[in-house]
Amino acid sequence: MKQGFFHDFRNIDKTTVLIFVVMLFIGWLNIYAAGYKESHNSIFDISQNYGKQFVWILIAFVLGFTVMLTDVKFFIAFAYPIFITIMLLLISVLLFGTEINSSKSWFQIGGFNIQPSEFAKFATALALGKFISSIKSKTITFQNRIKAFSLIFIPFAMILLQNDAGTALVFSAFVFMLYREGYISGLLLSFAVTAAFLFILTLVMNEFIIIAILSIIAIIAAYVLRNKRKEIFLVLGLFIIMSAYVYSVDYAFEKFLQPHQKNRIEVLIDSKIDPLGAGYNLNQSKIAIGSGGLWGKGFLKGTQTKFDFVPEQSTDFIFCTIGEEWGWAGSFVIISLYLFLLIRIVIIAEKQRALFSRIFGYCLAGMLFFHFAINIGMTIGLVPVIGIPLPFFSYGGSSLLAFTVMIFVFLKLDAKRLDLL
Amino acid sequence: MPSRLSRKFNDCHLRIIIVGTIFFILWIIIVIRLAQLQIIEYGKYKEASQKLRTIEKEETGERGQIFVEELNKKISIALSSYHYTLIAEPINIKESVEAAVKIAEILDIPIDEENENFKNLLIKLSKKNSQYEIVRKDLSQSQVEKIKNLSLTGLYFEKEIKRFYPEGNCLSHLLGFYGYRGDQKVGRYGIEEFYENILSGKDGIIKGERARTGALISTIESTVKESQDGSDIVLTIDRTIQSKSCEILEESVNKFGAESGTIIIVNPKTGEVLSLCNFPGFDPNQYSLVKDFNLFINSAISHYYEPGSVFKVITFAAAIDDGKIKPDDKFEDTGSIKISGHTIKNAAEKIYGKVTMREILEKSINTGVIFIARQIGSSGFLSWVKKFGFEEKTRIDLPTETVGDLRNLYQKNEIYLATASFGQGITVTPIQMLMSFAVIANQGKLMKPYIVKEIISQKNSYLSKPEEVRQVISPQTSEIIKDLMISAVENGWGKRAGVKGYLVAGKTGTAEVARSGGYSSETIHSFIGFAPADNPRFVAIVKIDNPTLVNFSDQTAAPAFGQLADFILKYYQIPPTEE
Repeated sequence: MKQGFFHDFRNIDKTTVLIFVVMLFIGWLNIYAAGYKESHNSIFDISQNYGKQFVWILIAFVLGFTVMLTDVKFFIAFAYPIFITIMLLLISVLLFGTEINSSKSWFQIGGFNIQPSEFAKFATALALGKFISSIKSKTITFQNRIKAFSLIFIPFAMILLQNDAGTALVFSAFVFMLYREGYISGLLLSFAVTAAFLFILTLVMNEFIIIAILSIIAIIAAYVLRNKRKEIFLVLGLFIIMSAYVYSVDYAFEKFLQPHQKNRIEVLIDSKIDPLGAGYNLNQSKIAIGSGGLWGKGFLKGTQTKFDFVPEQSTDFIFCTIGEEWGWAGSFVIISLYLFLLIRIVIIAEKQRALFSRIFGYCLAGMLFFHFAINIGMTIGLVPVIGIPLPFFSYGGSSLLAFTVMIFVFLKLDAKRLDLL
Repeated sequence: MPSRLSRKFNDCHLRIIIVGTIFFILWIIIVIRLAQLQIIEYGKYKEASQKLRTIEKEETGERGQIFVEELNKKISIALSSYHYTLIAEPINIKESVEAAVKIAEILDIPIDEENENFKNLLIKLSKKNSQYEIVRKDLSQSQVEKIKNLSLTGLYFEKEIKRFYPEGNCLSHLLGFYGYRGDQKVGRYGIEEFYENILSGKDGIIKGERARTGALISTIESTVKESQDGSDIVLTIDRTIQSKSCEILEESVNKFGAESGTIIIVNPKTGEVLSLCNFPGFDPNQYSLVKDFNLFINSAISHYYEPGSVFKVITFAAAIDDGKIKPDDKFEDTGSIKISGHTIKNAAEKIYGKVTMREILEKSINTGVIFIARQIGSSGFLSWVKKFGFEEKTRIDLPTETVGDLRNLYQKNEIYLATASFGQGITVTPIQMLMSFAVIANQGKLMKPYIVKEIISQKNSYLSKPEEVRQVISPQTSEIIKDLMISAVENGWGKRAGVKGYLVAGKTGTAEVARSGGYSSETIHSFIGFAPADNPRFVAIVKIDNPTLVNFSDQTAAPAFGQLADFILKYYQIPPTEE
């Protein structure tokens, strides 16, 4: 070890660190704005969310620093033990955890709540990196594919058991990495996209109209391909499969979803249904953001968020405060910052020589992307209300620390990229 | 080999590009969606946000007071006070124990878990799924302020107006009360009902900002619609005369074993009602305890009855004004008279022989009055009766006035003319009867009776003026009748209505009460008169329903009137004119 950690600090990607710090700072100000009380007007007031978030931010810096000091080989060598430890924590939280908002996924320690499932994302990324990079053969065997999927499925299932469907869904963010590494074919990805698209369409429209549209497309395709018998059969087959799918989605929606889940989706389609129930949140969120206008109402001037109209205004719905107080312009800056960070991570990932590092980078990017898309999507009524935080902005320690660890492990890997193979 | 390599390279690049594109497309979608919400639909959401935040609170206008005047001072006989009820919405209370302790302190409930009141309070505030719990009624203004200053969520007040009537029973029928019609609180009966629109305040609206919990953030209030207080009302009623007449009435009804009774006193020159009293009354402060709703009915204007002999005065006035008779004309009484197969006798079957017209009224001779009515004739008599204001509303400013019934007089059969001449077979209301006598006291002019002298709103005030309905008889006729009525008091059945040293004019009446199928043994005794006869200051009716201990009104209504007249004349400090 000729090069000490000062070398690593010099080699760290300063752009990413800068974005990280800026986001934390803006996030903290927003939590202050969302929960601002005249009686507790200090941003350091530890009895309030914003004071607590300040403590979390300090811890996050210490943690990031610690990660930078840690030998990078530690994370590679201990990938499986970390994964297994976290899985054990996921089991014990089911047994001994505290229930918050009907999800049994929290440990209560002092005044702070810790959510092991947030760290499961990091552990899974490590394990996946370790496993996939350890495969020697060039081709991907069916067996290995199953093993890789299992690494994702185990934490997914356990978090689902905690009744925290939102966090569990985040594990689908690993598709980006799997796709990049060739574990998912383009065909499968397009199937997935089509299936998701048809799924939403089915919920929005009458299934017979969709099948009618599908049949028109099929007829046109069949006419175009009238001289190619093989392709006509393919079109016909696809048409039958898609129609059956549409029909069964509708059936499953009516039959298997729990009322509150059904409600969240129905509300998305028509927010006037049940305006004081599930639709209430979405309506309030849209009003808060929409009333921000182009330039926003100004710092601490948001009325919808401050006066409790928007639920969970400092956690899952923190974006409402950004939209309300900083308007379209401020929102544009924040989401562009996100896009910039994501693309930055992909670029750095692609620079890696070690497969482990690249896999880890893609896992991080996928995860951030998923949180970002779902969280903002739900506040503006593009996706159903799924309770997952907006990284670096939402109030809460677990999510912040988990993402901090992931980012700094990735930056450490990057700083050491010439030493790793 | 190079081709395979480049293909692999391309495949890799494609995958990177696809991932990047997905990120980018989502970024575009979000930017566009935000533009839709924040720029295109901005107006809609801005409006929604303002609407959500503004709360419109009703502000009640105060109900006007009712006054009487006494020595140029206004004395309130109906006033409002506010009563506050503390309501909790436990669903919006965050710290129920903390809230309970703070509220208990203000409400003087010992903060002790063993204390029954404190336990109840805590239980109410802790009902997490409840939206409405009555915590405490009748809070004082200062308690309300203190609780408001706690600025706790999930608490608010309901304001209720309570009406207080200091005079209690005495003015019950005159004032009515402020009570519920359906679920709305309005004036019921009496002045409260008749002047509802004037007394009731108009509710205003205050706009303010609110949090989701409904708490008004009071710093940003603005008035949308000004609330308006109701107008005050001053009555023509004289509180002293009113309470004395109620006292005399109650005494008489009880003394003679009667069911009920009415006294109305009016200034004959103006129509101002000085007193209006029915017995039994009720306590308007506790109207909800009254089981029999008939008690609310103001019989002075609603009860129609056969007036009996007092009506003879009307017959006399008509005949004299028509020039059919003169006071000293002679009449031969045989004790009975036969009309269309019916025989009508004098009261107590007396035979008077040769008498003058004056004596007919003094002694209240039925056969003599029938003779007089026959001089006028059926149709002439009917139009005279109507001219005196019967079968029409006096338009007194009280609700539920009735008009009585003259239907029998429309028939050709002379028997109805005969009975009507002494006040049987037709019905009238006490107020109609009184006002017809006021005609004689007022130079032949019929006046509209009224109770409200003045209406005072915040901006201006309105003074009632006396209203003449019509000239019924000539002033000369009225003087003649007045003279006859003085004789009736001095020499006739009305003796006990007289007041020593004063000229009192009046007439007794003992009417039989018609029940289905004929007349019963029940009677209604009345006396109507005025004094001093030469310059009448008041005209009064004393009506006593079904006295069981005495048979004729000269012993019931007449002495009650005498007592009343004596009181009023002295109260008005009118010097005696007679020996």
